[in-house]
Amino acid sequence: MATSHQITAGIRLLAALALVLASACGGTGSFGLSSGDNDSTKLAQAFATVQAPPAGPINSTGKPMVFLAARGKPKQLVAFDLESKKEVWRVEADISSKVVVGRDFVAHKEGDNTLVGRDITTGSQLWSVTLEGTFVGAAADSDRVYFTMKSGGRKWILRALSGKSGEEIWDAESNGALGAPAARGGLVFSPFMKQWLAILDAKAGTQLTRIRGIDQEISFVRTTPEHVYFGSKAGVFLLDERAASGKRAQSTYGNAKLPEHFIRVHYYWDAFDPVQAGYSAYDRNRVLWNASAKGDALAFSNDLVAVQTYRFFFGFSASTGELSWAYNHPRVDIVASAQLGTSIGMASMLGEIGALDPATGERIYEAKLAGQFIGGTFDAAGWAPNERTGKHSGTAAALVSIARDRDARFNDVKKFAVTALSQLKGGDVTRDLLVLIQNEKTPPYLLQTAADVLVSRKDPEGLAHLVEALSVRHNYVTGAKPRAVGVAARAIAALDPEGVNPRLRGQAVEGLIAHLTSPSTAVGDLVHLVRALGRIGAGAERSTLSSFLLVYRADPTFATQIDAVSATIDVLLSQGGTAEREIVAYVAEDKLSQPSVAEYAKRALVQRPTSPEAEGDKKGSKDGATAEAGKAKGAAKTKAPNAKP
Amino acid sequence: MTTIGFSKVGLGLCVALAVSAPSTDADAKRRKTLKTLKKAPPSALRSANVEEAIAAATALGTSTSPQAMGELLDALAMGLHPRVASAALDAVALRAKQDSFDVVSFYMHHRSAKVRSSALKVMGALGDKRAKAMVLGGLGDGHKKVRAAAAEILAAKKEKKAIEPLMSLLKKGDEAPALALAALANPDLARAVSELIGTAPDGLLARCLGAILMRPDFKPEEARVEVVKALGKIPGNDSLEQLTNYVGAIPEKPPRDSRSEAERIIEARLGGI
Repeated sequence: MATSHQITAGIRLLAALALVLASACGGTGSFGLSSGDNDSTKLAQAFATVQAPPAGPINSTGKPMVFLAARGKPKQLVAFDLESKKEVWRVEADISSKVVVGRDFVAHKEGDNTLVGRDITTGSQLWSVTLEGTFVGAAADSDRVYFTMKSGGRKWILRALSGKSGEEIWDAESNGALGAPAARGGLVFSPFMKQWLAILDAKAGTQLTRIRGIDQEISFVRTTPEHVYFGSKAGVFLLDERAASGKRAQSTYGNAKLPEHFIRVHYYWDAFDPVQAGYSAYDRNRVLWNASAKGDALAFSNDLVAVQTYRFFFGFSASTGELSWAYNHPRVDIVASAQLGTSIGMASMLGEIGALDPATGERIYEAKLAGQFIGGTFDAAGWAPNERTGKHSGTAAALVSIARDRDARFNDVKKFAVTALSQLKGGDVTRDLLVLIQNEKTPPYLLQTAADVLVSRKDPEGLAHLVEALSVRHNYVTGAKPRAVGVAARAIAALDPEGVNPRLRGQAVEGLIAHLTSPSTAVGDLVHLVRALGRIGAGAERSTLSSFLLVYRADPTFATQIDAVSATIDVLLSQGGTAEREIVAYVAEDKLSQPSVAEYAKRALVQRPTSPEAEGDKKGSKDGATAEAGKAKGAAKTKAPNAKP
Repeated sequence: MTTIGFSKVGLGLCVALAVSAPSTDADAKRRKTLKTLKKAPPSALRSANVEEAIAAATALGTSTSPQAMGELLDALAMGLHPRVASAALDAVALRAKQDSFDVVSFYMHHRSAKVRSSALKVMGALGDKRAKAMVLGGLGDGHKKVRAAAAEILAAKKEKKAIEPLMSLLKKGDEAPALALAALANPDLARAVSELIGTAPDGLLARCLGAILMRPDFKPEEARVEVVKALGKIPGNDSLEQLTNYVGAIPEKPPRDSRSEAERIIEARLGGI
């Protein structure tokens, strides 16, 4: 029979073995691997302890504030009251992390290894503590600061301090990697080894429960006054009872459909990346969003998410990825931004403070702070400024201004902006695209994209602007130089003639003819002008095209650059009558015609044995007639004439 | 005589109807002419040998026969090699008539600058309102030789409407207007040209003012003195050369103030060197 001493010794041995095993598996204490995961009962119990945080700013003044880190030697920390547009305080501080905000304090890392607490009303230092390891990230609730540091080889510590005094309240250690924490309503949330989200009692540091991500890693946790979210680049989980499943399908989960052109999807800062614990380029490339449960799914507020990339903001439909709005901040990068529910707060490198309407991208607030800034933290949940100037230029204008931006860093964004224009309706977009195309400084890659977009829009409302572009004629005396003639012609050629305003059609034909017959028009543009005339000319083009063909059929210049002449032959045969056909036949037979032109004319005549007009078929059947004729004459053996309108 | 008819309904009507609705009447005429042309005897002008065709065009230009003009216009209407077209237009210019306008007007926009210059000569020879407008338009051409041809024609015709665009061209440093403006200049225009010192290129201004001085009909003497003084204000050798040319071209007697002033400026300049 074992003695009590032996039993005690056995228990100790078992306990020691368990500790060794747990330790070997990656965690101890609050963060052991053997804790119960995804326990819905414990999760519900944890939720029951939550004290709802204030709906608005957490700071004791209740005013929306932004705390900005100013560049310089020494650096400065500036508190700015967004409501009164006044600087509240400015103190020298060697800030080396994001600022976290509590009720009566702000805290931040200073220098290499110090955490500092400051009075929220004056900025004066309340306390400082020395960090015994590498800072990972920090969070705050009303009363406490929580921060994570890596101490030694395989040891991470999550520590709670009093926000007012800096006094240490509790420690939770882990042998597995801990990410930057978040806090809300008496709970602390700590990503653990990218697989778990540990939920701790904010007062004692004890783990209440934890979620294990079964089909997605957990690299961030974010709190708002209303919700707690966690997830990774792949998507966002709402921390509710359903999160206990640990699976996307059984959780309140969602992600936004975003274009891939230039967006690096970061739903929140990566809790495990020390760089993102400070103000960095990650603060300038973000997805800004709010979300809540809608049925079993996570629904982004108003189905919109905003994407910031340096100076530009884009609003996208989260469900379709369709662009909803765009904002181009002039000249300098936005270094701090936040989705505040009713507005998107932002601060620029030069201290311009602003807010955008999350629904429209309209700027609804402006203020200015002296200095140059590297980043900042908003404590302004629910802030709803409404300084609408009535000058909101709209999405198209914003996209055009982005496309025309001279900053060479943003080629992908510019390309996206131009492509996005193709989705917008209205003739003004045509005008804006033309402005871009006509600008000599537009780089070639963008020029091509803009031209393709303009053509693909097939927007009859834009014809007036195309006509205007064509109305400029070359004149050496006045210095007038038409631009984008070929592109305008391509855009006209792509239009449905049925939808074209008859008055504008006449003006367009006049402009097209003028450029077709102008010696200043680039040879490469001629074919587009011919096709456009064939498309909308309605017969008024025939005489000019006949002349064009006759005059240039014998010109060696067109012997190798046959596109324009061959397109002319196609149009005359498809749109013209017997007279035009006879002209083409003359060109085919006459010895003065360049051989390549004559050959093309011959083949075209074979493939179009009769014109639509001669058949009494005025429109619409030219391609069919060509195809049928081609078949009948065995024309498949020869190269088909260029029959595109 | 079918060829003349074709020139009217061929390219000429194409141009005239460029932006109007298609005319079945015109189509019918064109068709008829095409048939006729097919039956026409071979013409050296329409030879595939370019040199032979150019020679034929030149020969037709010297002919006083109405058929010769018709043949030139018909060939132009149906399209020629650009070098032949240029020769044909030069030939038409020698005896241009109003019925040349429609055919030639298309060649005013030909892609070859040489062809356009030749077409300008025809328009200059026609001299009616439409043709004059075309020649004036030639000042805005993108090619300097075409602009020069237009300027020469307008200067010869003393066309006042050309002054403004010629002044603009002078400011831009274009070579074309210097002699044309000189030909058109009265004292006011000479003063306006002088006022471009510092704005227009020195060499051009010097040549323009020098050419004004060389015109025996440019009067009064006070105006000539002003031009000489203006030349004296233009730095560089070009102005000195113009003044020297002027002194050399004007006899010492009877004495003229403008000559004396030119001599004084030359001495001062050379002495300064």
